[in-house]
Amino acid sequence: MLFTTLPFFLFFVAFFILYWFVFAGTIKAQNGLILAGSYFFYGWWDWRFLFLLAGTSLAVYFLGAWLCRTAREGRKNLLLGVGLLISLGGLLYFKYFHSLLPLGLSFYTFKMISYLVDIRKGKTAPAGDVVVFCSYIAFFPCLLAGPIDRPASLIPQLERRREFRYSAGSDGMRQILWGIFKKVVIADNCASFSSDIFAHYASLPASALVYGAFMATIWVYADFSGYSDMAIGMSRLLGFTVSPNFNYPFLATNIAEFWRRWHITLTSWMTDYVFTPLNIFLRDLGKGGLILAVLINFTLIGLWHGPCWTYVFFGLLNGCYFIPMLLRGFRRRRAAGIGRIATFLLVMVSIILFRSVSLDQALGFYRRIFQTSLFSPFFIFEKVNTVVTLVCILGMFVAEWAQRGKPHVLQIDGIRAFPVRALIYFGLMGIILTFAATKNADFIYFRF
Amino acid sequence: MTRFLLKTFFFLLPVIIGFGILSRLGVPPMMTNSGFFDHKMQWLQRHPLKDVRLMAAGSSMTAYALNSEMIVEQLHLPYYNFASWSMQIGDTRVVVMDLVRTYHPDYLVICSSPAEFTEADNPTYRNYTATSPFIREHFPGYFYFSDYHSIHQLLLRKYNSSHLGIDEWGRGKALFEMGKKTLHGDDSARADPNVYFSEHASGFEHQYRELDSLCAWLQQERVKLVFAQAPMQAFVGRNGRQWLNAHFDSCRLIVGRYGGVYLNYYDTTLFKDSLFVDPGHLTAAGSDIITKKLVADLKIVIRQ
Repeated sequence: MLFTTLPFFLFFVAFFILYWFVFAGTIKAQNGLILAGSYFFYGWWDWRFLFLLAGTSLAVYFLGAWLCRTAREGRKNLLLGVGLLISLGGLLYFKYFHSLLPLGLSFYTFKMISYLVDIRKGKTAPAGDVVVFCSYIAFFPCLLAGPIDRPASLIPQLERRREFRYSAGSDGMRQILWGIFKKVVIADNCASFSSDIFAHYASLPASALVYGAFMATIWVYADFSGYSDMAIGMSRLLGFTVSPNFNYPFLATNIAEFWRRWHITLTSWMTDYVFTPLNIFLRDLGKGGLILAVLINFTLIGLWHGPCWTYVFFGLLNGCYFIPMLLRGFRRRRAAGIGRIATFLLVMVSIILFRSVSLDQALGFYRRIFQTSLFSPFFIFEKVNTVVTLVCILGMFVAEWAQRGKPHVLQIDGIRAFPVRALIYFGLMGIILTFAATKNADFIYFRF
Repeated sequence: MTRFLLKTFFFLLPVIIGFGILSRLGVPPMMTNSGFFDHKMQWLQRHPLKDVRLMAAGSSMTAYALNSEMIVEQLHLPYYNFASWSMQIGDTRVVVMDLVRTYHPDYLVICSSPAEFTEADNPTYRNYTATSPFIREHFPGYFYFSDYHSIHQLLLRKYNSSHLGIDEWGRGKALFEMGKKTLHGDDSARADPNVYFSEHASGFEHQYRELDSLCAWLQQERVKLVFAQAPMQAFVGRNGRQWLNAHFDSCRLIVGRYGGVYLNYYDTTLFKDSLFVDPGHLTAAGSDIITKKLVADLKIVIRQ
């Protein structure tokens, strides 16, 4: 049940009606529906892994409650350790030692860890009841690929009464529309073009490889940010405000800013739970300690994606990008335009690792990309789709730049005339319906 | 909430109307990824069959090789050819199970080639047959949304469909209208049969299981299967004789196990290379010869 398919549309319409018209009477009923709907949604993929999701959720809930009641420090640490073992154990086992990976495991495991750690640190109170906690973990718009919301942000929203607000609902719809555009018009088309080039890189000129790397970069961004837009928009329709996951990352003028704008909930999670403790631990080593903490943090971000060397080096390379800034300081400024282009190119170089199926392929790709054939012409299949996709990519960047102060591109309330706004929405819908990619690919982050 | 729902409806309505207009303009939805199969199913909706006692199914071999008029004239049975391009045996099984439930035929003819055993199944046939016949018949517009294809793709298919011609019994016409030169020039179709067969070994294993399931199911439904091996150009047998014999034996065993009739028309002396438009597809003259032989064999089967 991909967000962009008919079964999900029907599921969501039915859920929305039940949520606001049948179960709206009490919070408990609404939360019960969220939990049932989320488990139904998850079970649709593979019902076997429902037991893992429900089992670990229950274990973490009871451990959290026990952790809060216990006064002795030693026992608190023990309970935290057991909780981490349960949640991380499942993640490590399935991710690194098993051929099947339950969908969304990396995302909901991080939610469980932050819940336990935050209770241990006294930053958050345990969830009021088990349905609230399980709904927080399994909340279906964000279950499979985030955003990874912290307990302090989402649990209180589950515990209080939710009311439908027109402004939030219509804004949610607009964000969903923008997400669908990015996913089915840009990401799915880019996925198809870049897959062809990565599959045949050994026989293509460098110019084609640059084009492939560009398409792969846009693919990853449009796919994941498109998914996030849809997840956030759906949450808004249900009366929730979830954390943003992207903040126009390609408008960043340096790599540090890029990572503050890219996959924000993961980066901030890693900063809080890995980088900061590590930095404190290594503070005696001065700048060397800071660099080491950054490199470890980014390597772990890479490794979070999966047990592949390509991901490890993807993380490490991004960590290395920070070193010059850490040595010289962050204050050095240059023209924003040059900064943006340089940042995009750095990201593009690292995405080659991310997109390659093996380190050999990535190294082969790098070897071929820096050749004299950089300016050679190459054959492009599906010319109409290619032109349309390139125009849409340009349109996306222009719209992002114009709307850079807004949470999402389609927040166009500033345009007073309704016909103009309607024209924009209908125009976008027309582009989606006319040029959606042939193959509706899975969301890339589902595999993590 | 009312305002929100009304506005949402206002924005979704043109989408529904738009696809309604497309349908009126003769731009049909994509039900499977085979333009030929979809065309045939849409033709059948416009021209419903009253009775089918003899049914043909399978890939392009069956779709083009069987001369409909000859079959109808000589066998005097209500007949229709449901075959379509590129169907693997697994696809044929899925489609046949659906069609047999609809038309309840007495006989099923499959004119098969080894190419039908080489690839994975096409999931779009499964999706199509899994859709309720009621929806297929009364709400074909459902397929605009069930497996979404853009308007651009729908138009491309619509305007590239000149080769989809079929006769009133479902036989494809376009192959005979193509120049022989075009097809003979296809080097990939003339690949070394040994390499070709060994590269597709896993496909064969899977498709034999599919054939087995199909035969067992047909026996249960009391539909007599007539499984005919289609002829091929001589070079296939010259270079891949062992593979070919093993394939023939496997098919014969499976079909025979469930009471089906196995026929082998692989005969390079009768079907000379000049009777083919490519390594596996027959010319109009070639298809007349195979149909004559098949009709003769079918008469025996029907008499029994």
